[in-house]
Amino acid sequence: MSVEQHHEYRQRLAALDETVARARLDPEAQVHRAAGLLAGRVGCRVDEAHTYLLDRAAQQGRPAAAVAGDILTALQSRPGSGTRPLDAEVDTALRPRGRSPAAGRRPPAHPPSQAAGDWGPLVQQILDAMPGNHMALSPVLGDNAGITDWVIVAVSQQTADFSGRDVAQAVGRRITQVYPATVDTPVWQAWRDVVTDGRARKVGPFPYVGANTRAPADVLMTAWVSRVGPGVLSRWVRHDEQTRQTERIAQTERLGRLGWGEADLVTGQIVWSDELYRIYERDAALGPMSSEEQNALTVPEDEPIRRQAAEGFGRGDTVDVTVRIRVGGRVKHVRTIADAVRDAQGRPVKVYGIVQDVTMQHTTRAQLAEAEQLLQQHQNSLAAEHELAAQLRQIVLPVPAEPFDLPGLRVAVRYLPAEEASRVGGDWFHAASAEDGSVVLGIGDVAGHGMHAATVMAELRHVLAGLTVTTTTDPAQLLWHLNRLLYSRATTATAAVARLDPQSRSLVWAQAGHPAPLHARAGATTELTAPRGTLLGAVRAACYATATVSLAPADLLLFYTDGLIEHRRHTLAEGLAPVIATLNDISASGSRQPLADLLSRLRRANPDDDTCILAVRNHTPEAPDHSEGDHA
Amino acid sequence: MGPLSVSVDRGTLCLALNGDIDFVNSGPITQAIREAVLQGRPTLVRVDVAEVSFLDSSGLGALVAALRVATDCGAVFRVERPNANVYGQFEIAGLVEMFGLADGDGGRGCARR
Repeated sequence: MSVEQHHEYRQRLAALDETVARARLDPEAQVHRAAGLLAGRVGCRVDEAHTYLLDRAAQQGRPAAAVAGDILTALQSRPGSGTRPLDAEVDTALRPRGRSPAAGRRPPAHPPSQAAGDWGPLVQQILDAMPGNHMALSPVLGDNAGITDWVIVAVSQQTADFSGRDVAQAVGRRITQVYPATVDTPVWQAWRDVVTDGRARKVGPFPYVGANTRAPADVLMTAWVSRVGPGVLSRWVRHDEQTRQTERIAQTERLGRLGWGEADLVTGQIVWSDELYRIYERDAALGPMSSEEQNALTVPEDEPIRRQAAEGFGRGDTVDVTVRIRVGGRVKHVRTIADAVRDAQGRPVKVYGIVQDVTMQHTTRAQLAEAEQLLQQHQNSLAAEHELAAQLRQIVLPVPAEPFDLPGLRVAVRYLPAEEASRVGGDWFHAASAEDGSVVLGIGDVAGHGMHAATVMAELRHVLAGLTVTTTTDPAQLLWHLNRLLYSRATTATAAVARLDPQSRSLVWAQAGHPAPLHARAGATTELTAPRGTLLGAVRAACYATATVSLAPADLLLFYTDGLIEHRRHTLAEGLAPVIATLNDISASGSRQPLADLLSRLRRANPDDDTCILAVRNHTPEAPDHSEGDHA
Repeated sequence: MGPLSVSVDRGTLCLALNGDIDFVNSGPITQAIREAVLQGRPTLVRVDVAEVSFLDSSGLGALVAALRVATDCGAVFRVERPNANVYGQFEIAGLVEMFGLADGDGGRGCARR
């Protein structure tokens, strides 16, 4: 790359920077983009970069978008231009928890060396005007007149930038302090040789392992050394410099779906970046499109917008316009920011443009809007559905307000609808005497919420009531029938069913994927050991086993649905603990109205879910107890 | 990442669920699994639930629906790597065997490719 080319290249980059800065997006998108760029740069995950950004913003007490802006500016400005935000931000980004490498490594201030003499400032003036990496060095002589070190007498701007120091900071320092890795490299030897014999030399390419954390671990360099005054002038080239810049730009373009182009209005030459070819899906071999070709791609609806922007540009405005273009059979949203270098009369001489494919942003926004609308509709219909479901529930499953008696049992029921109306679901209970003199108790929970669950609940409950009259009161058989019904409805539900023989006080029960009832006796509560049973509706030929428990006088049994204990951030055991504690308390208290006490004290764990509680107390025929009804 | 990811590897349909599977998302998940099974016609359906933090009755219903569609298609159905809480829910629901978890190996997850 010639000096001239290099200069142009840098100009282009500078123009790119400016326009990128102008192309800033809304704050949130900016944070996302900064996170993306940072992640690409640092090699971490985008969400990590994102978190880091927010952390930093919090630390600095600034809006995240402001920090993101700094980082965007930093990462998108050209490398080596010496913008401190770039160095500072990238360094911090690269080592988020560490100390600043520059600060940590900075040697103590060193008095300017006498050896610098008067030629230093003069060389510095020359170097100030020169591109490239140059350094003038003066030898430091040891006791035996051998060269032990070098003092930096003058340094070019670019070198100073690269090392992260300004010129004033570098001048007067010793090489062993500033660039310790140079010691005993071929260039170190060449400096000695040049001082000794006065002949200019070229060294390299040689590998240079930078001590500076910002430099890649191993860099190839070529150096030219010549004698100047009492010291040497050393110039060097990093062979990866151009690659690095190009890669960084390519990455920025790719991440931001950002392409740039420029048109020289004097020579008619147009240059496109790779990403611009990708955005326009054009073979780079064909070369850039003319602006007429580009304009022709604009969809007709957006043509007025484009034209208005073009007129503004003619008046000297900077263009920032988003239009839809039709490329490769698809419509893309493309944002263009264009600016011009103008002559003294304000006529554009050269046009720079940044083109960004913002289709994703537009699509995402459109999809979000659509999703939001759907959600709204969904909620409206849910609200209507809830009304119906609640009415249906009231008809199908009126919940008795007071405890009531069945042969050998006193029964109390509580139904707690989900806090959010739309989630009222399919919890049900059953407590009734059967034809054969037994008492059948049941509780269940149909999966899901709303009309469907309420309908299935109604069906289940009616079928259960019918079966106890016509077919069986055996809990396992009842569940077998209910399973067949649910399987045919392609719905799942859980249930527990029990039959009490009032004469023998023996309770036979079965369950289908339902939490086992709790049995409290004299201050001690146990969860009944569940017999085998699968969720209703899961498999066609499910079989249910039964278990038997003998009830003693004043025993309490609590059937419940999982809204009572289930909570998404607790284990089931954690949810169960307070319920068991309450049961222990009440069954130990000898209260005359234990059921009312129990229902008033139980709080459901999950307000998202509806909850049904069926509590029964074994009646002692010897001493009928009517107190419960009076107080509940 | 959505709550469901799907991959197919020679006759095996690997499904991975993550996060809370509940009444909010169980409908679309059920539908997506159904389509994946009907399209892929696998001989084995594996559902990795290692990343599932919570299942409510609807979420459980989604797995049952998957079991049913897989079984209807003649595929073997396995749920793999439930956490202790989720496994506890399978136990209560009586689904441990149905989900192929009874052999006690806890299920090896779908091969990552």
